[in-house]
Amino acid sequence: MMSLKGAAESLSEDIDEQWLQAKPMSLWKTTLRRLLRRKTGIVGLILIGFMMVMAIGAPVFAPYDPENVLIGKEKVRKREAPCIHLLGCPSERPQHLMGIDGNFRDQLSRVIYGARVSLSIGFTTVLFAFLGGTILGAIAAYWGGWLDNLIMRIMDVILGFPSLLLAIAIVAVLGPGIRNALFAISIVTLPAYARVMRASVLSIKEMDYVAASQALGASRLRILMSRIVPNALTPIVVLSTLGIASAILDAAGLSFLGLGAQPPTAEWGTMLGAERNQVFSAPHLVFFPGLAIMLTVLGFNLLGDGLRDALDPRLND
Amino acid sequence: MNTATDAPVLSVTGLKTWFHTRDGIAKSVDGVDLEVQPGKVLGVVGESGCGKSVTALSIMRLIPPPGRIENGQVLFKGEDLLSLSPTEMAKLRGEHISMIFQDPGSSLNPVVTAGNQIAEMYEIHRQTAARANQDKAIEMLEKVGIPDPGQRASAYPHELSGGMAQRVMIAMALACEPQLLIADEPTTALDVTIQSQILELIRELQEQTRTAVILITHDLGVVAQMADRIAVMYAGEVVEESDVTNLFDEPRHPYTRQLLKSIPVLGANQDDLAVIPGRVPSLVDLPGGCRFAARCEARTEVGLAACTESRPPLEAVGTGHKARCWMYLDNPP
Amino acid sequence: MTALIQVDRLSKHFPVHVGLLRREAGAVQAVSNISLDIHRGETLGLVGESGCGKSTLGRLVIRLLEPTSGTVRFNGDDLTHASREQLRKLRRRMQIIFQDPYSSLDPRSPVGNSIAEGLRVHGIINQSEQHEKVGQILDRVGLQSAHAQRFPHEFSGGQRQRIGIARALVLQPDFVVCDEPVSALDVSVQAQVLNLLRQLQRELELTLLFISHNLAVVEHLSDRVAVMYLGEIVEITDRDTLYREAQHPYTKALLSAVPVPNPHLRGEKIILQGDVPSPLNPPPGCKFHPRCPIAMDACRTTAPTPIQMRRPVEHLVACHAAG
Repeated sequence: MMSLKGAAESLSEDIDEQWLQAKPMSLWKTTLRRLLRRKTGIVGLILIGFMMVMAIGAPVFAPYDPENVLIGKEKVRKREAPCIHLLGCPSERPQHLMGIDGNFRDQLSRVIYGARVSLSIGFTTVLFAFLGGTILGAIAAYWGGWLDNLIMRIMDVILGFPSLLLAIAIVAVLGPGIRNALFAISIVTLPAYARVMRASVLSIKEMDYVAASQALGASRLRILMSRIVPNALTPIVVLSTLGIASAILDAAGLSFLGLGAQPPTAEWGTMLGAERNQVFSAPHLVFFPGLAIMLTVLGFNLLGDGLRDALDPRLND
Repeated sequence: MNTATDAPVLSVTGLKTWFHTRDGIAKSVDGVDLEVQPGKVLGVVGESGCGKSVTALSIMRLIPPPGRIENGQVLFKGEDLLSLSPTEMAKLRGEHISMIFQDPGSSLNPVVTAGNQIAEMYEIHRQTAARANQDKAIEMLEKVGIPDPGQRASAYPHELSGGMAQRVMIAMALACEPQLLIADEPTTALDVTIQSQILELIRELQEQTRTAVILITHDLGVVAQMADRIAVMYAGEVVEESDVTNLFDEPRHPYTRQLLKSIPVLGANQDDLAVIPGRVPSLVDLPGGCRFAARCEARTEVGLAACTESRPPLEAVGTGHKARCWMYLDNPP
Repeated sequence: MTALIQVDRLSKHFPVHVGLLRREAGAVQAVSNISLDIHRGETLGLVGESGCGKSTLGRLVIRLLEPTSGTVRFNGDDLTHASREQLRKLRRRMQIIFQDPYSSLDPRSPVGNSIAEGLRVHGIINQSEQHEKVGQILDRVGLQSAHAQRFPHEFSGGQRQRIGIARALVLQPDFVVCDEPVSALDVSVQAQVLNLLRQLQRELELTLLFISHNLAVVEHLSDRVAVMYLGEIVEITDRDTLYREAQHPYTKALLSAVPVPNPHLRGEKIILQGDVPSPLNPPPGCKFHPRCPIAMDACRTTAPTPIQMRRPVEHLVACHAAG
């Protein structure tokens, strides 16, 4: 008959000495490892990384100032096709890898600087939506009752409108410009975060470890901040990554319609909007900004997909 | 009827089902031999991870990738199931071999009524008319003890209690009078009073229809009450096989012995429960030699070197009693 | 000597809301009018099947749930009407161990952090003192202090239960509610944890409320046992009397239904008819009467009050046919 001491000893025996040497694996570390195992996650990270490097290093990478009108400074024609020395363009002519736009500006520089605008809109709107949405969702779920009802019905109303149309309406009222575009997009994105956070908190609230904290005497606020919120954020992380993608698209859409970034600011959507009638005569002016949007949004979508798979506890190979 | 010379309904030899995971090959079932006689109940007992459910799914050929049946023979009425095509196997399932699972909540189709799920069995396997199928379904519901079967036939699974839903599953499984029924933890999710109802039902029906049953469970009490023969599994192997009285009266394998000593028994007035030290070995990283050696009390007493070096075969240690242990073999290496 | 825990006519109803405006359409009567005492140093076993309210009662007794009516006293102090500050102090002395080893620990915190939470809440904020106490309690439950930095998913089910026990005991409470602590564990691991609980109870002089649906496990650990059915206690007495001389027909059926690991004992079982009725709509009179093999007319109309059997020991049975 095994005594308790024997049981305790044998437990120590079978504990791998190696296991104790290895670093503890927090959930984030495990998630990162799983993310990096799949191609989707890696490709997404590479694309985003590339765009961010471009945005941050814009002054370094861009050959010209994006608002620099070249008429008179260089011998270039309006909407001239790209001149790439490596591909045969004579070296006497100035190199413009993506050509010249309708205002005699170097498009490559505008695309590179455009990354700054697009990415910052993407991150900022998601940040606001995240902060607003998670706080509202957490309050609704934790306090319940009429407050929950009130908050969620307001979210329902916002969600009742097609998001881009609502954003256009808000900008139309407030006036065009990046700041107002930011505000509008944040508003239309926020309800999704509130809903997801509320659902997340509602289910975490019922977990035994929350009851354990209660039994230990922790205050409601402490339980909310230290136990519930950190665990409830998991689905929000995926939502945010995908949210950046759609925020960038929304921003491009608003700018395309002339409601977002105003000329002469270089923004991919504005660039598309300005040259949309030249699709056949100067396709490079539509192609490159479009490609930039596509690659950035693809990058965030892939990262979001990769994260969702990495965070799903059931998908264990 | 001389059951001793009747050919077994199911005869499994050398079954190996391995899961090829990123972290290595998990040898869930690693050389299992089993036999079920017609009309008898074979209890397969073991803790989680021992491979009992995977064995059942392998017999039914329902193993999902990355699992693969690597080796072995599964003779059902003389025919090797592992050599059949998927279509041929599908014909057997439900009609000749049926299976019921632990959680009726997730095994029943939530959008089809109870009656229709049973009627579907007749539709698929007997191709009889819809009206006749409905009638037969109601008959089956009555047979499995559901009160008011005509009414209940139009109930959806979520409207049924756990016990009722399990009865519906049993009705579906026995609708076409299969020769073999595999029950994988059929009462684990049920309350104890409902459990005894369901076990009683299985016993009655089994006696009536002479269906052979493989009853898989971790509960030694359940097999003691229901089984004719018992196979004890550990880490992917059968470690002991015997008729039920012999297993409980004279368990041979140290795992069986230690397991029996570690469960609290009603009325036994035990002091501290005997503990099996250590943990089940990882299926990806199995030790050479006997898989139970690290936790075996007998080994520390008897001290056989063979235990850690080579894997003992499953050999007879008495009439109709086999055990996988070097202690009982004449010439351990 | 007053009992450590005194429960007086405790009830808990969960209202059911329907519709857009969430009208109250009825109530789930989880616990109905329960009175009992738990004596210092004893292990009171609480058995019953799913839906009988045993887990709810466990949580009510330490005020993790607010009762609909009735009171609970802890060592003479009124727990039900305690102020927030009084409650916080009382919490130190009563703790709970949960059933599911996978949801009872915060997956994002190292286990040492989860264990030390009680220390932090009750004023022991010194890091090294926390570290020391956590190490001690981990050692006590058969783990190592180095495990404190690891995360829950790195442990097995049995080890997580030990961590849950450590968390409950680090504050050295007087009373611990054990809510199905071994039900989710493998048979061979159950024995380890049960032995540990018994050992710790002796060493730390704990009073336990041991909740389980497994009668053999409850019999193994308990001094007295209470049987619950649909929110009420139908029988309560000391362990040996219950298991040998049960009076209530439900208790008898329950005992008969437990599959005994002995093939020689395949006797006649008392098989109850029908399913456990819903706590939303309990039957009138004695709640057990639709399934009771000896139901009489009185049972359908009047709920039985607990009767003390003619015995020297306390043996209460809520049945018209008892005595």
